Amino acid sequence: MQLKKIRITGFRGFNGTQEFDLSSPVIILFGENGAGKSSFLNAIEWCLFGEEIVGKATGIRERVNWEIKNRHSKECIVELHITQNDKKYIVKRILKGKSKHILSIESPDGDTLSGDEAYEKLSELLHNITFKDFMSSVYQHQEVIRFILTQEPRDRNEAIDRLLGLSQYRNFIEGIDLKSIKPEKLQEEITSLEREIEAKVKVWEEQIESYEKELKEKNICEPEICEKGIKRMCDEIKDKLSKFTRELGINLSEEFKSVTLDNVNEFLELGKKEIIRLRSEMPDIKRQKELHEKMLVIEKNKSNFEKLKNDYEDKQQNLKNFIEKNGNIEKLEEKLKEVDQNIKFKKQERKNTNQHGNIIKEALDYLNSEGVPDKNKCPVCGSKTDNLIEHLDKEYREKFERELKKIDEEIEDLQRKKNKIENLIRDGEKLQKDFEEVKEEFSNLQTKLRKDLGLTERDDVLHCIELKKKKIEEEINKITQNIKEKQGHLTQIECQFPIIEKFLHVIELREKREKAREITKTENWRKLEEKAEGLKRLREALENIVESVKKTSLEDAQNKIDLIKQKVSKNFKNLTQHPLISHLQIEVKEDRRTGSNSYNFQHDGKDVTPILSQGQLNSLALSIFLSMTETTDFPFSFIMLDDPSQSLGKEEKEKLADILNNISQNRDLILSTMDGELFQFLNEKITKEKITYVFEDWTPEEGPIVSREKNGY
Amino acid sequence: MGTKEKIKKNLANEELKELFEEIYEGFSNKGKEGIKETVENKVNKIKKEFEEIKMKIENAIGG
Repeated sequence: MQLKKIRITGFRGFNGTQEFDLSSPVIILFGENGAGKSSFLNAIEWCLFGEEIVGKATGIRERVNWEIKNRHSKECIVELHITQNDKKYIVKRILKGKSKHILSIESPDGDTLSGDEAYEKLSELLHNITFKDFMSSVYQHQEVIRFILTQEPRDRNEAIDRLLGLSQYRNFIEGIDLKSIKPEKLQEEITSLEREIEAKVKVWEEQIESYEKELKEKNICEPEICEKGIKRMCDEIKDKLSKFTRELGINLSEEFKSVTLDNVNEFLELGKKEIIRLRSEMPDIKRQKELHEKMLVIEKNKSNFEKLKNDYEDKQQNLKNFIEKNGNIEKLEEKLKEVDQNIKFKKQERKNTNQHGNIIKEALDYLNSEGVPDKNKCPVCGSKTDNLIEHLDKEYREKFERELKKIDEEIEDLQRKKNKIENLIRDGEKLQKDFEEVKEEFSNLQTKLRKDLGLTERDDVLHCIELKKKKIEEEINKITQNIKEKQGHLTQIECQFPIIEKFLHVIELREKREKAREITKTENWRKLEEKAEGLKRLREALENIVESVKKTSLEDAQNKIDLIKQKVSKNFKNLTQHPLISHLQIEVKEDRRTGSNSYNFQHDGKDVTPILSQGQLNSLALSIFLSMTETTDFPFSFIMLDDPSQSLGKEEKEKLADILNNISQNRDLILSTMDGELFQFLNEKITKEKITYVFEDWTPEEGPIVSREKNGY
Repeated sequence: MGTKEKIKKNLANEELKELFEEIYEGFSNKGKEGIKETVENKVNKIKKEFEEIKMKIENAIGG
């Protein structure tokens, strides 16, 4: 894959759109920190790997919470023009919203691929390499170099594997997760199932034994517990119920008549329903109900009769007592008449007395008035009397007032007497009326009962009711006894049902038990074991594959190390001029603990990494990285280096420029640096055509301010 | 010779080679996740069939 052009819009430090020509063999990005160089390199990464370049999984600290889109830009788009086998492709990635990536690839024939098709094509263009591979074998990034510099063997070995292009092997080793495949679990499940079945068989056997014991107690022998035995019992039930209904003169239901013995459960269900029906519909039950209803009517009549009779007698006695005490109404009315006459007479007497008195009173009034010539002359009779006024006054007071008072008292007595008699008449009339009413009611009831019971006027109603009641009671007792016997008969038949159900249970349990005992001989059991065995074989096969992958990885690593070890040693020697390490030896072997490749860097049989400075470790990493890019099976035609001169001295930088010039003979270079010394050496030493982008400044509004120089600065 | 061929060369028999081909196809399509997916699918297929047969046996025996 070769890079030809990049167009960046709103990505990271870039606001607006800028386009960069990448068609020269060497591209140098030069400028101070924060001028946008890294954003340029990141744009290439993002276009090729999308969201993979962000987050903790990258292993790069600064990538956690990384913002892809420039905060001042409306959109974020990177468009990368590449060639692969002389065919041109345009890879375009757009960020929608915060995290939605839209990838499209314009193919040489002008078609635009999108969605899954675009991702598949991109994967093919990238030779299936992962972002981690890219970061170690194509893009020399300081954060990744850190893993080679680390003293932790596992991380270092993995990073070197990646540098050597062996990460595919690791992908297979890690991708085939042998630990998660547990064939023994399936075998354990089979064993557990076997135990479960054994436990069930044991429970069923105990149940069978218990039911057989219960049946034996009911005098049913073991040989009878079979389908024939059940059918025989069902037949018997059907016969008994037929006979029972015939005797009662009623019919069996059509449903029960038609049920066959082939379906015993249906037979039992219908049989139970039939017995419930017969219990409620047998003729005696109906008769018993009628008699109870009759009895209720008789008892009600009797109660009414007794109540009315008592009422009648009470009221008759009350009336009699009243008459004895006060006389009858006629007699009382006579008394009342007499008292009324007396009152009338007394009132006349009072009137007369009062008239005489009034004359005296008027005479007195006259005499006492002024202008009467003779106060001793009577104005009524004309006779003359001395002290007539005193005399008349005395007569009026002593005679008329006393007499009138006496008459008034007599009238009051008579009035009280009259009131009393009137009250008695009212009471008597009420008693008479009540008595007449109850008498009529009682008479009506008697007439009705006589008619209902067919009695003559001479019969004693209450006695006849008692006789009738006794007769019905006797009939009820008799019919109740009959019903009890018939219900008992039905109960006897009904008792057969649980026995049949037990028969059925025993037979079902026996069948289940036999089936369970034979289950391990079935086809399904054989298949179950086959599946467990299949998983075991799959695991063994995968183990073999993993072993082969490890073996191949080791062979490949050894071959590659053999191929580059001289170059690595030479590059390292050129870069560092280390006085103690004249020849760097690289040994690769299998890590016994992990099965992965283990790399040792030695001089005179001793590990050199503990004595190397940071700059020398960086030189070692660069030596491996750059040596690998010179091998023939390196999948990309370009490499990217980000600030490669960290910790290097002036001489090392000059040597690095020499090495990069050598590499540029076969690979395109994209190199970013802020190091003026290295930049100067690169300008001096690189002989290939180059474009230099000078990142002069950066502003939030404009993004990087970049000037372009071709072939030197 | 590519990685695939190098590994296949070290595999003992055709059965293993066929299995590796399947795994490699998964890798070609989806990378490391594709390998995991292929292996998981094979394992899950066996486990699913195992569970189905086990269920049939349990149903045949009943409660």
